[in-house]
Amino acid sequence: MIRDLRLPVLLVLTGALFLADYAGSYSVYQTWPILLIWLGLTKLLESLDDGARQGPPAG
Amino acid sequence: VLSLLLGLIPGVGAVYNGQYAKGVAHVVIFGGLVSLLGAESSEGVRPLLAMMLLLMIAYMPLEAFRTARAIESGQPVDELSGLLPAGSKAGSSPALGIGLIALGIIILLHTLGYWRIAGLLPYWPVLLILMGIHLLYRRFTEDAADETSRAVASHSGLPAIRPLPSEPVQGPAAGPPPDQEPK
Repeated sequence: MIRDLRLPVLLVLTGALFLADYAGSYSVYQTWPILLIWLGLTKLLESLDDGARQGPPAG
Repeated sequence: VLSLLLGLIPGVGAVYNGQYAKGVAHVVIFGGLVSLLGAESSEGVRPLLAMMLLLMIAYMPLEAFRTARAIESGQPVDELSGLLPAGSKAGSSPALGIGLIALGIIILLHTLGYWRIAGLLPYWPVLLILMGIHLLYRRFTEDAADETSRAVASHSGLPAIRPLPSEPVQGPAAGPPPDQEPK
């Protein structure tokens, strides 16, 4: 699920950052780490999802 | 070979292999390193940043070439393969996600002017220590898993489960030999 969201949201975020730059509020140079945070968030959710699927170790 | 050449351009090699998220990650990492190298506040760690940039320049084409070969041979390739530790366990570790989020927040606070990275730069060896601790933790948890597997195997009489076999096992199928009656 989260893997399907990664790229579309990345594109939306990139577009929003460039729009904010064009509007003069924040430049892309200032806001690009948001993309890094999104990538990290998707990796974290993915690993939690994997852990939940594997379940607790038997024993 | 085309992937090797395209890999010299940040992100393009990965995009050529159909790994768009990895392409974006390459661009972000490459751009971040170049930006940090150009920043006045990075004076003390410029040699480290330059080495990381050189490593990135060498890594991108090689990774694109390796991924292209894996795709050609029909192996499954993850969207972020090569950015993660080798092995299929890579996606299950939360350390990468937490690290990326922390890095993103630190750089964002710096670029928005709320906090200066310069104050943190002298403490960069802490990263090495954290990486070492993470590797040790992984090593010990893998050892514990191996021992549990061996203990279970010795009780049940079955061969110990080997973690993550990278190649198909050749030779006779597992189980008792045909001339031996199961007990």
